[in-house]
Amino acid sequence: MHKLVLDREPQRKASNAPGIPLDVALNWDIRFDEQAGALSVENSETVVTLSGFEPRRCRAFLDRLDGEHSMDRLCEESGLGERECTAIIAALLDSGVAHRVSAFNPATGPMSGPQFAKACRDLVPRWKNRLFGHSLWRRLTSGAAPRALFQGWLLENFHFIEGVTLRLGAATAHCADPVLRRHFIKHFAEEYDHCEFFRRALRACGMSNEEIDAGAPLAGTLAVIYWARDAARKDPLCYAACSAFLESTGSDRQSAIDFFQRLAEKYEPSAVKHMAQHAQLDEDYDHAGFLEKFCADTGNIDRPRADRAIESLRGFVETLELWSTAVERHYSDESTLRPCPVRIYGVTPGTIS
Amino acid sequence: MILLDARPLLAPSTRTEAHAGKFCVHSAATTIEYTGERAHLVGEMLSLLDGRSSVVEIAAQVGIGLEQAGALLSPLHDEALLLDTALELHEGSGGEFFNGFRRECRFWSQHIFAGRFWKHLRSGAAPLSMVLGWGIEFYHYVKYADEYMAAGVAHCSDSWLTRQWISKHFVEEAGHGEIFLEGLVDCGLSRSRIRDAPPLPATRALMNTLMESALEGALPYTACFGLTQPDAIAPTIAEHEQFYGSLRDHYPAAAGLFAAFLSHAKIDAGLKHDRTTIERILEARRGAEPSQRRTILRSVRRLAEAFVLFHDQIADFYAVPSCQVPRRALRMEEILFT
Repeated sequence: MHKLVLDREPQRKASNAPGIPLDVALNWDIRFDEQAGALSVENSETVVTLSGFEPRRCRAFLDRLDGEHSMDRLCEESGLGERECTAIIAALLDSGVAHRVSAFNPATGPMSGPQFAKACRDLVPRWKNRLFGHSLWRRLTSGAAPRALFQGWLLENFHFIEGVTLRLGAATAHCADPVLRRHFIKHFAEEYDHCEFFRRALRACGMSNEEIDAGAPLAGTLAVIYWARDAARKDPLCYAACSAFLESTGSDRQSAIDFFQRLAEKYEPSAVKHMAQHAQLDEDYDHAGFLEKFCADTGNIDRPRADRAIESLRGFVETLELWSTAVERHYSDESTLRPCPVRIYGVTPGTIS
Repeated sequence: MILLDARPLLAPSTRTEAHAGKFCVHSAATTIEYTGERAHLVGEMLSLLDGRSSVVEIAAQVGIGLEQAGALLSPLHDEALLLDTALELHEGSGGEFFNGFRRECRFWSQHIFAGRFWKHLRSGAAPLSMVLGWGIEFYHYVKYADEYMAAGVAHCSDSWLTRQWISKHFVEEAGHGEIFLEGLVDCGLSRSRIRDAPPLPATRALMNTLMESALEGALPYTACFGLTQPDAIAPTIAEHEQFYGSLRDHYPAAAGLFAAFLSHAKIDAGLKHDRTTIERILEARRGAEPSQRRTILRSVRRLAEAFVLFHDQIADFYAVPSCQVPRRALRMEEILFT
């Protein structure tokens, strides 16, 4: 974690013409924290503490730092002086929690497919760390999750993996480019029946086929499936970017092996064996390289299209976090695994006061 | 009157209380009070209201007559605090199924409004970020009607008449996102920032659920509006004014947003949306086959879960002071150059 404390104003003069939007925006993943009279701007890697500046004014300034406000408006609406604003902006840019809006100049031309794939590939490890830092995954890894939660997680995995027919089927059907479609068809042929691994895992946990078939996916699981279907309807590139997140790569393959090892120790080894087999089969198919192969055939990608696809990937990761929360909340109660005539989702019993 | 072969499930959000010879069932909207022998009997029935036993079986277990069992359950049934888990199986006319469907929609509506988001909002203690965040997410949801309702029309393979009903509804609702956008701008938020803000994943999930229903066809699609308009008699404008007025008193900085909600509610009231398209479809078809009933109920139950998720995530995300309101979209330049 990189930390930077800004506690005085550098003697620098801003050079922004009145009325012209400032070429700086705060990054998408920023959170704010106020402690001991100072506002901090932070993401998962960096904290910038703005000591010596009035927190309320700083927050008003940062809320408006979006590439649309001019310096004079920022000063007027936040109550900060121009020198203060300039100092804060310099610190934010230096620490990488803000960016120049004009940095990606459309006039320089579109990205190549491989450039886009590399940008995604650079992001994925950071976002996997973020996702697997969720309490669901930490509790599963440590064995702190009750067995019902392990089994519920497995059940929702079954629904999600079976949902490849809905996700990848949609991506294939909506893809107008026959060259790109071939990638989807190949991937579909290799994936469509992998739910069997999870069915076997559930059977190993003692669930009957009837019990597995009787349940419907949780809203959180449908959220992931529907997100991918929506991406498929928008653009094959959006879908491919999301798909890249799901496949293990060299860097996280060992983490996956370790994860299965921990699950086998804490829960049901005969169930985990089937999941590990599934991961191994994906590796044999080289699904890790799907995005690179796909992007080799996309041709150049203009900026709005690249923005949409990267936003789709970001939203997919957020949806997987939502899924983790939904699974953890629902299956922490053992009774939710028992067959019921109609599932009642979400409201704690007896909550009316 | 509750059917004897109904399998009632008591709304889990209700709170029960036995005190001084009385037995009370509290919901957010009402309290049902039983006294004397009735209090004792309802107390005994309570554990059987789990959706597994029919009214006949419950009566036998408690040792009372069918008429008495029906009379005891009727107040809960009338307030839609019981879900009949066997609704799709009952023989009867389309009108009877529709009444049961409407009651189930009221059940889910109350379930959604019993969630922690609504408690926090109504308490007046929610941070402004949560109120405005809700407005932004609601804007995305309303605006998306321009897409999923169009899909609902385009994927309706019923009669031309059904398509006309669905089309009219679409035309009436299209463009209403602007009302909420203006309301949020009145609260001081940037118009372009609101438009660019990525919906929360649960908001997108709600929008996608509506789109999926639209793609599936007229029955699952029109069933969704049973949940968004659950009351046989829509709330009056005075009731809307009272509700949004109380929120405005709690959160004066969001007055523009509540004015938008009220303005939208008045438009809907003027359009008489209380008669839903699915009611017309069921009338025209003279009922629905069991498989069609299952399709209708699956659609509304799926949407109810999506609404629960939607409100939960607003409460999770926007109630934290550290969040950004509106959220910011990720752009490629941010990845390549920071």
